Amino acid sequence: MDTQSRSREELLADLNLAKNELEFQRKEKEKHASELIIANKNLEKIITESKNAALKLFKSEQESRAMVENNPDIIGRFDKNFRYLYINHPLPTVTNNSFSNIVGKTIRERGFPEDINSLYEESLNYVFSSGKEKTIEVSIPINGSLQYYESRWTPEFAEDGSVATALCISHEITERKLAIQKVLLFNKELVVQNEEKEKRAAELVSANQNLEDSKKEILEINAHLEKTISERTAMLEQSNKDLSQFARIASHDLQEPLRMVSSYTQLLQKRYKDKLDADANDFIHFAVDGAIRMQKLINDLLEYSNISGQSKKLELVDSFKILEKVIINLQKVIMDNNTALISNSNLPILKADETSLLRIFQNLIENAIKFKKKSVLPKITISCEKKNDMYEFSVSDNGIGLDMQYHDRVFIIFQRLHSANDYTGTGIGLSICKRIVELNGGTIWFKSKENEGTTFYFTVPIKH
Amino acid sequence: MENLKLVEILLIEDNPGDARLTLEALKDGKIKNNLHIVYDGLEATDFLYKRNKYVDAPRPDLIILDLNLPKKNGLELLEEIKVDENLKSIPVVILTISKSEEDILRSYNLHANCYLIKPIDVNTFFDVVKSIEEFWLTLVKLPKS
Repeated sequence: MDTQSRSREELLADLNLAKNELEFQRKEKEKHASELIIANKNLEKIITESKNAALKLFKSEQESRAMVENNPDIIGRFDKNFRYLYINHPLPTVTNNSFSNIVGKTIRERGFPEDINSLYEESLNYVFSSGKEKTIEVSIPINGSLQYYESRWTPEFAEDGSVATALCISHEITERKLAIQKVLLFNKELVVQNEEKEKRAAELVSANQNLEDSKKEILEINAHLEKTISERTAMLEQSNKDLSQFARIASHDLQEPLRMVSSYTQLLQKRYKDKLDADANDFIHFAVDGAIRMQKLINDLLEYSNISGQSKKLELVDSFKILEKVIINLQKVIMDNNTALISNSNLPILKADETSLLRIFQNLIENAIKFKKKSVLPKITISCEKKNDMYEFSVSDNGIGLDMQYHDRVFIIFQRLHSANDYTGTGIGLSICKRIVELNGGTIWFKSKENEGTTFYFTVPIKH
Repeated sequence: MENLKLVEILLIEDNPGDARLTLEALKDGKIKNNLHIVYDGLEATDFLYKRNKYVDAPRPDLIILDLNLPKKNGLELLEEIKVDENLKSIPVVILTISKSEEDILRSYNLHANCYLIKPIDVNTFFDVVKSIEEFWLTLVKLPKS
């Protein structure tokens, strides 16, 4: 029994101990289980969190990608060997340029024109070697027309600060470029137009210069002419003055000795007539006659030279009234010769120098009476016609007429067509007429037939 | 007695031919006259103011004056005579060849008593001189000097 009892006792104690142990252990396990649950929960939380983060990251990456891929600019990334690491969307028309075709290839392998290749390589070289940005402009032929891009090359750095990759963002600027080109073209056009204008302006300037030169030349010629004319005029005036002074002095101073000759021959005749024979009387007669004729010539010369010296005052005069005055002046000779004077009704009132007109009429009428036919009564017709800017007067007679071959001689001073025995006068009348007519700006001429009569014409300018 | 007194005429004339003609004409005239001839303006003033060789010159009853004179011309002389209180009553006859209107007007403005143009014809010249003599020395009544 002891053994047995002790054993039982012991067993019981052992059992109890084991039970406690088990209890402890169960409690420990429970504790661990709850710890595990917590840990599990934490783990689950962590997993969820990381799942969320991954999702977020994916979403963000997707957003970024969408942004990059939908960006109208062409964005590419290059490695140090100038190979494409990435391109958002390649140019549609460049051959073999699908995304998968491009990545991993070099620029040169894309088939751009050589000048673009070298431009790109140059830019990449610059960015990789300097670590600085560079912006270039390129033009790429697409579908036969050029597209313009502005490419910005940017370095992307590694952690150690070296350039790892290069980013190229190409922005199309074709429109802007074309606009600029248009503007430039327009500008060029403007420049051309301006040049054209300048050229024309220069031509105009040159033409003007030529004109100016011509004008100057003309002015010089004019000045020269004016000078010459004024010199000549002065010379002529002086010569006219000298001439008229000469004529006056000559006629005046010639009169004196001439009067002596004529007076003393006449006195000789008067006192000694009875003591001289017929020859002596004849001689004296010729001497006296010569002296008297010479006196008349001198007087006529004086009259002729005085014509130019007269200052003409132009007034409105009635040519018919002037004719009346002439008739009064010539009353005796008209009556003595039974002259018929006829004037037409259109003798004008005109602006003229009365004395001049009177002199012309008087000389022509006197002339007409002087050269009348012996058997026929003289008939003189005076008329006037307006011709353009002239009045054309005519004095027509039925006299002996003149041979037209002497036309010009008739008007020369002291030229006579008839001997002094047949017709008296010095032959100055018509020269005086010519001088007066011409000094008044007109002309004088005649038409005649021998034995039928003569018509003298003269013109007077119409002045207003 | 008065009739016996010679009429004194002063002829101022530079041309001896004309002077002689006047003298000849007056010779034919009715009036007994004493013609004094001077040949220029200065000589004429000497005569009128009784200077130099004309100390004994008489006061002329009539002056016949030519306009174209040497030294002092006729118009100057005329002016002198006509402003002189003692001389201005002497009739002055201008006898010249000048037909100039200006000469005629100036002569009368200077109180010439008449203006005559020397005629070309000798007979007419004689007539003119005679008529001067007749008119101024017989018809015209002049103040007693």
